[in-house]
Amino acid sequence: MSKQKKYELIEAYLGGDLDEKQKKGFEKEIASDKDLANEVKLHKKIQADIGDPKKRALRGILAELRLEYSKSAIPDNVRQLQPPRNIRRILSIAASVTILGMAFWYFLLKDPAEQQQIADDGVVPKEEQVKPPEIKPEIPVDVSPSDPSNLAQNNNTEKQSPEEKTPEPKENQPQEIPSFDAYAVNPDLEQLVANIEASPFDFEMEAPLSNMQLTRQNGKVQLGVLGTLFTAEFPEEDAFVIQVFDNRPASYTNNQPVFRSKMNFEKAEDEQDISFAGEERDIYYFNLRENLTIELGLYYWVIALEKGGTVVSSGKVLVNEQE
Amino acid sequence: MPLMKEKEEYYLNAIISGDRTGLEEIYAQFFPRITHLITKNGGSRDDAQDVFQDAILILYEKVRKDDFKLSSNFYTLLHGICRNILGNRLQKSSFKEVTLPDDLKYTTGDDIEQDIFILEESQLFWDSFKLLGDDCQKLMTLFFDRVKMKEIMKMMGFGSESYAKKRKFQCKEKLIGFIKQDARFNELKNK
Repeated sequence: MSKQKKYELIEAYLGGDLDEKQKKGFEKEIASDKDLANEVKLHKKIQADIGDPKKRALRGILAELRLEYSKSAIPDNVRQLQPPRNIRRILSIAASVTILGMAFWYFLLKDPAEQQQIADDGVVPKEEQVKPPEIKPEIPVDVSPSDPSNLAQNNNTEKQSPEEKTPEPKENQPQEIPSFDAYAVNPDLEQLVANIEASPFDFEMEAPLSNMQLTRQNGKVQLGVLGTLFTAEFPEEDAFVIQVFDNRPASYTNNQPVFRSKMNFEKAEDEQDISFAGEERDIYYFNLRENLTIELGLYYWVIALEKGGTVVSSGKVLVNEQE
Repeated sequence: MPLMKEKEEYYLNAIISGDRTGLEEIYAQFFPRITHLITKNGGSRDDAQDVFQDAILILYEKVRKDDFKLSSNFYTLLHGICRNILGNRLQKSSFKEVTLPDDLKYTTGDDIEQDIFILEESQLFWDSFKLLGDDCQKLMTLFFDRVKMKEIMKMMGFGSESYAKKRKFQCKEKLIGFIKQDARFNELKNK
């Protein structure tokens, strides 16, 4: 068989153009000829990859965007993170009409005092653009793990009160310790992790990452909380707090984290601001290490503003024994 | 549906449907942050471009699967993939300096080895395809899109259907030749 005929047969087979008899015969050949099997596999992969029009389109656009972003790049040693100005120019043409329209509409809806403030400032306040997930207003200033009016409680205004969730054990009755799967998911915390909303605080976590596995060694687990915060509005009057909860529903609803700490930030003075689609933000680093004595299982971490309550980052980690 | 969820869907759709405006927005929103991550770990801006684009392609493969479910927000997913690609590249020591903390070794739930294998294979196919001449690329694209040979003959201005078939065969053979000659082909075969 000529190579051309072989290719055509492979293509007809992959395209489903062979009749049943031809198909069975060809499959028999594939089963007995490893080289042919490899050839068919390669044709199939090429067809699925280059033959995918959507992927071709995506690659084409990515190649263009790469070029546009490279053209506008300022040398690395000058300002690596400067955004591509030409992209902004291009986008601004299309966006300007929309923005003007939206601004006008927004202006019309505002009361006169706010209109004046916007006119003075020239910008719409950030919190008006994207409403951060507001937690109950009556959040206490001092949040401690033992305090029932707590961050976790306030994360979900629909929650039952702790009293409803955890009835007091009756006196003189042996307290049953329910067998609890230490790796079972906590639906409330799953919900929280999946629904972090936009806030002016962009936390880029290097650790912990969601679904990260931590290992316990000699009864201790090293928790590292490190990463970068990008924000134009660092909350000088508030603080960020990290809490780690085990997976028991009551631990979260009663705000009994296994670990809680305020976070310290170091502003990156040596670097220039970073721009996010035109908005300049400062860069802050955080790096917290703690050795925890905790059981094996599933844990959730939640970073939130202490006073404001806004949850800005969360995720889950598995704690396993060092093998 | 909350605003953020809509936005996440918008980003995913932009990737899956090749929507240029959406992809531009993804670039504008997230590329600076990924660049920061990469350059902080010893990579260059070019490395950042590679990692960012690889991550978008991995996302494309993930999102088009029927069982895909966005279990975190879009940026968390993108950042996680970039971190994994970065880790893979660091292992290959292409960067000047490794600054990822050694005491914080982690694994994610995703099968990053498999993701990167598919990506590298796809990159090899694509690079080989781009080595073909314009006519061959056009002919192969029509063939992959299952345009009938008779139509291809007319569109390409060939004299006969059999000549169109022959040209298609020659182009495909050239493509497969480029793929097999590439050093990456044997590396991937042995993985």
